[in-house]
Amino acid sequence: MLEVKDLVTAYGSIEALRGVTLTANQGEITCILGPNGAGKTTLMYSIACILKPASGSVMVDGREIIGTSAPHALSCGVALVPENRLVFPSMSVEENLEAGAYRRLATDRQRVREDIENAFIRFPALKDRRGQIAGTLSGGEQQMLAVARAMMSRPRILMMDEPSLGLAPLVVAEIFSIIRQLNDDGVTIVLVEQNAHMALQIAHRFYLLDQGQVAFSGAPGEIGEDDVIQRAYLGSKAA
Amino acid sequence: MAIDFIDVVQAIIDGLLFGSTYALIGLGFTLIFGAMHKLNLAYAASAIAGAYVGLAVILMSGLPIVLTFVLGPVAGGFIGFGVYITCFRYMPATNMLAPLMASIGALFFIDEIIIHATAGSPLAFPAVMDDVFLEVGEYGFRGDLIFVLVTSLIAMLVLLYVLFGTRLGLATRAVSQQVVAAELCGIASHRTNATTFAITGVLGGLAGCMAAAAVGVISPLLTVPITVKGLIVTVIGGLGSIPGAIVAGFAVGGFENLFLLLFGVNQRDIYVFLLLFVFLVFRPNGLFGKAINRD
Repeated sequence: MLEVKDLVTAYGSIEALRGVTLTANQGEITCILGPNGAGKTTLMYSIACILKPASGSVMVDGREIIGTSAPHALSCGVALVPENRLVFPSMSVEENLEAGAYRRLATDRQRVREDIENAFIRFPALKDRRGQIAGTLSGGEQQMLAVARAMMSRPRILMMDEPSLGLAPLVVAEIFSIIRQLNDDGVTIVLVEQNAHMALQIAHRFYLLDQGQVAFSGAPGEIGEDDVIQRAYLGSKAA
Repeated sequence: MAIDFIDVVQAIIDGLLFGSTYALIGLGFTLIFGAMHKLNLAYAASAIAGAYVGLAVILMSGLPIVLTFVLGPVAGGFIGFGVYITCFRYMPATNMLAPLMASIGALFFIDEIIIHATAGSPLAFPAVMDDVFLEVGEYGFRGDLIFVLVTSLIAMLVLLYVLFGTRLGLATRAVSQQVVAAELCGIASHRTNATTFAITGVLGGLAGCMAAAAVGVISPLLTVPITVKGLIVTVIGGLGSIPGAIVAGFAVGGFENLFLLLFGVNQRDIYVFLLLFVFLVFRPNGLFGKAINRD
C-alpha cells in the first residue's frame, strides 16, 4: 500500500505540489487525472525519490521513503515507468531489460535471465527485437520496453506516467490490457493519465489533481464519467 | 634538407606508436563527457600527476622501476576520484560552466603542485624495452614505443570489456544515456560517475607514464600540451565516441610526427591546430560523432 501525505514539492520558489494526500490500495489500480501542469509528473518523480519534496511523507507498506534515493525507493518495491518512456537509446532491448534488473544482476543472474524470457512472453512484440537498439523502436514498442524494464525489478507497486502519450489508439488499447493483466497478477498500479476515458474504465479509484492539489477523488461509477472529465479539464464548476 | 619517402613513413610509424597515448587521453575525455556531458579539463593534468606520484614512490621506496607503470595508474585513479569530488559531484547539474571552470582551476592547481614539488625541473622517467629495436625492411620500430603501443592496446581492450561486458559497464552506459531512467533502475548515478572518474583516472595515469616514458623525461611542461592534444583528439574523434577517440588518437600522433618532420618542432603544432580547424569547419561532429540531440 502506498500512502502519500501532505506532499509539497517546489521548483525554486514555485510549489508544483501543494500538499497532496492520496492512497493507493494494495492490488488496486489507482488513477491520477488532471490537466497539464497539475503536478502529476512532479508527484510521480517525488514518490520515486527522483525529486526531493520540501515536506510531507510517502509510506510504502508503512515505511517512509521520502528523503532516501531512487534506488532505495525501488528496493522498497516502487517502480516508475517515466513520462516519455526514457529507454536507454543506444542499448539493445535485452540490455535495457538487464539494466531494469540491475540490483539483482550481481547475485541473481540466472533468475534475471528467466525474467527476461518471461518478459518476452508478456511482451511478444519485444521478443523479435531483443537485439535491436532501443532508440530505433517505434513509440509503442518503446513504451512496452519501458514497462517491461520497470517490471524487471519485480516491483509490488508499479507507477506509470502517461503510458498512452503519443501512441496510436490500437497500441493504447494494448498497453491498457497489459496494465490490467499486471494488476490481475497482483501488482498495485498507480496510473497517471490524460486519457480520462480509458483510465476510468480500468481504475478502482481515481484522484483528480489540479494546481498541485487533489481537487476531488472517488471511484468510477460513484460519479459520472462526463462529470469527472468536465471537472478535470473544463474547470470545477459543472455546467 | 631532402626528405625522402622512407623518412616520411618512419615518422608516421613513430607517430602512430606514440599516438596510442593520445588515444588513451582522448578516451578519458570522451568517457567523462559521455557520462556527464561535461568536460573535465583537469584530466590530462591528473594523468601527468599520476605518473609523477608513481615515479616518486618508486624513487623513494627503491621498488623495481617497472612498477612505476602500475603505481602511476593507481595514483591516477585516486586523483581522478578527487577531481570528481571537488569539481563535479556537488556542482548543480544544470550549471555547465561551474564544473568546467572548476576543472580548469584543478588543472592549474595540480600543475602548480607539481612545479613546487619538483622545483619546476624535469625528471628522468624510466623507459621500458628502450634497448630493443625492431627492424622490418627499411623501417625501424623503437622498443619503448612498441611497449607504449602494446600496453595502451591492452588497456583499451580491458576498458572495452569493462564497458560492454560487466555490470559496472552496464551502469556506466545507463547513466550516460539516460540518467533519470538509470536512477529508476536502481543505479546510483553519483557512485557510478565517481567510478567512471576513477577508471578514466587509471587510464590517464597509464597514459601519463607512457608519454613520459616515450619522451624520457617528465616535466610540468607536459600538462598543457597533453591537455590540448587530448581535446583535439576528442573533437576529431567525435565527443563521446569511444572508437573515435582511439582512431583520432593514432591519427593525431601520426600527423603530429609527420608535421614535425616536414616543418620542424617550432611549427609542428600550428599544423596540428590547422587539422583541428579543418575538422571543426567540415566535420564538426568529428569522425564518429553523431549530431547531439538534447531532449
